Amino acid sequence: MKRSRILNLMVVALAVVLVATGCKHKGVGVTELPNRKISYTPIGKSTDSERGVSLPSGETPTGTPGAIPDDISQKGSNLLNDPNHREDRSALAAETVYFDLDSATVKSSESSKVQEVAKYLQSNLSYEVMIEGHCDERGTEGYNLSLGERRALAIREALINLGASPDRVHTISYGESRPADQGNNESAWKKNRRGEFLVLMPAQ
Amino acid sequence: MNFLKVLAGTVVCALGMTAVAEEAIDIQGFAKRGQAIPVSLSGFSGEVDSVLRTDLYVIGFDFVDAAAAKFVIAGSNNGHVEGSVRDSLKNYLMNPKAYSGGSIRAQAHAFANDIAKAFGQTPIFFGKIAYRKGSGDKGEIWVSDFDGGNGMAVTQGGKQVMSPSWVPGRRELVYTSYKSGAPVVYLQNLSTGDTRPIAKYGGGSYTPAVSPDGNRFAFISSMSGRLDLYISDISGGGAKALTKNPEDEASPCWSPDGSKICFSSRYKTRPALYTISANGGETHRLSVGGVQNLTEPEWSPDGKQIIFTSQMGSFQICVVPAQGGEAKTLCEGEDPCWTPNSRTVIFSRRKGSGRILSLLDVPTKHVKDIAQISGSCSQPSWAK
Repeated sequence: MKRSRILNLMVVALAVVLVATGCKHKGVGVTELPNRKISYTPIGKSTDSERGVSLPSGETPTGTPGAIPDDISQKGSNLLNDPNHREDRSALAAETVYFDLDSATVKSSESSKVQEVAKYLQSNLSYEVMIEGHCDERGTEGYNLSLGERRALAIREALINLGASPDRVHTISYGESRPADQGNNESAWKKNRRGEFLVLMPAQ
Repeated sequence: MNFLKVLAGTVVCALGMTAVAEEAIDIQGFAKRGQAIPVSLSGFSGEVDSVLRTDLYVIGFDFVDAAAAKFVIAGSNNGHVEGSVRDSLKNYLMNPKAYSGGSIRAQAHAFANDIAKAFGQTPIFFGKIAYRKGSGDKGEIWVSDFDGGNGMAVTQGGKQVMSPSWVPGRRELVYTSYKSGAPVVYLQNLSTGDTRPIAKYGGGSYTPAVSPDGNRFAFISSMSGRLDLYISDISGGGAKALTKNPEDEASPCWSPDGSKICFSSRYKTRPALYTISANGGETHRLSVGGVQNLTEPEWSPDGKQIIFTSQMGSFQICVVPAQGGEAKTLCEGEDPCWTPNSRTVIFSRRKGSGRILSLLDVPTKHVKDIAQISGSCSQPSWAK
């Protein structure tokens, strides 16, 4: 009698264990994601007001609206390929363009500098210019590399808009790597958010 | 009588087996629940002990005393490493094994790899990394063991170098260098030293990423007058633009099946994540909740998640399911890169005036700086 009761208990115990382990281990703490439809926002299909080419604010384009050529692509500089080419950083040092935090928009207060650079290029037809885009140290290295390039490209577009040939204006980004001022405060940072002009000249 | 003994024995065995089976199911459950597996570590000393503690911490283990441990990792390191892993019922999860050859540090990593495998993970501890070492516009690309051992510079000349990335399955790197006067993407064979430009166009060529099959690479170029996403043969030929728009693309990465590229681009002036077929076509914005300013994406090797840097005041490493959803914020840092186990990530974070490299376990949020790598280091890439 006793033995069969122990046996019964063991069978029940076994059954309980088997049922318990047979249960799926419910994912405690796992959040099932709702079946979201990805929202598609194809680039290039939105309105101009959101994605139009940014002109320097307050600047009216010379010439007819839409004067910016469709193709503003840049080829590499032939001058740079010539090891005997000359460079001049001082000629346009006064025209360094400064930017607001996290912005690649050429402010209207800076636009006269861009006009000076355009005039310089008109007066020196064999020269080219390399626009160097820089950032302050806030932002990741990758983001700053991109932001520096965007700043240089924005200045380049402004120059092309003023009639400069796309073939003579080049861009490069140094991101956060070449600060003008090594300080870690706003007075240093505003000096670092800039586009500088390096003049490229043929060999003598 | 005998029949009952046999039956009792069978029942006890069955109970024992179901208990072990429960442990096996539970291992996967820990990662799903974002929990570390509590283990005890005994018998090791010095460098071996510290290597094991670091390695296992960044693949999701916590160290507790034997009474609280679900698993016991025991062994010795008298001249060589020996060890095993047992569960709380003293069943071997990993049979005792002795290691020979190589340095004691390498043996410790080999043991950590075997422990990882015993728990169903892809081992990562012989991983190689490439990174940028330097500050300002001076620096070189370095390659080392993931813990900093056997490190050496693979570039020279001190010009600006950025964003090294491995060619999958090969001892080759792609990276951007300014040595020619403009940012150009180079392909460098680390065994032969052969280095050749593979993206040299007007403007700058940035952030190269090689396809999983090694045949193509994606990069960002300003040759069009805007920052666009390009794709090219690994030889440098056949470059074509995947995007042509006023928005600015950045930081491409590949899906592990090679069909899609994920990148950062601006949406209503703020950076967001997008995907596009590697053959071109429409871009699709990834719907990501909970974070702002998404940059520097990397797709996990198992295809399930995308990790990225969110810039909201500080920089945070965040992760989101690959099809979109709510993002999880993991730790402060930037520029994450997955290891092959799809849970551990190498990234960089600011320290003092420079940056250091660090490891993060995504499910448990365990973080450990790579102490042996000196100097200001950033932009890490883990060999695939």
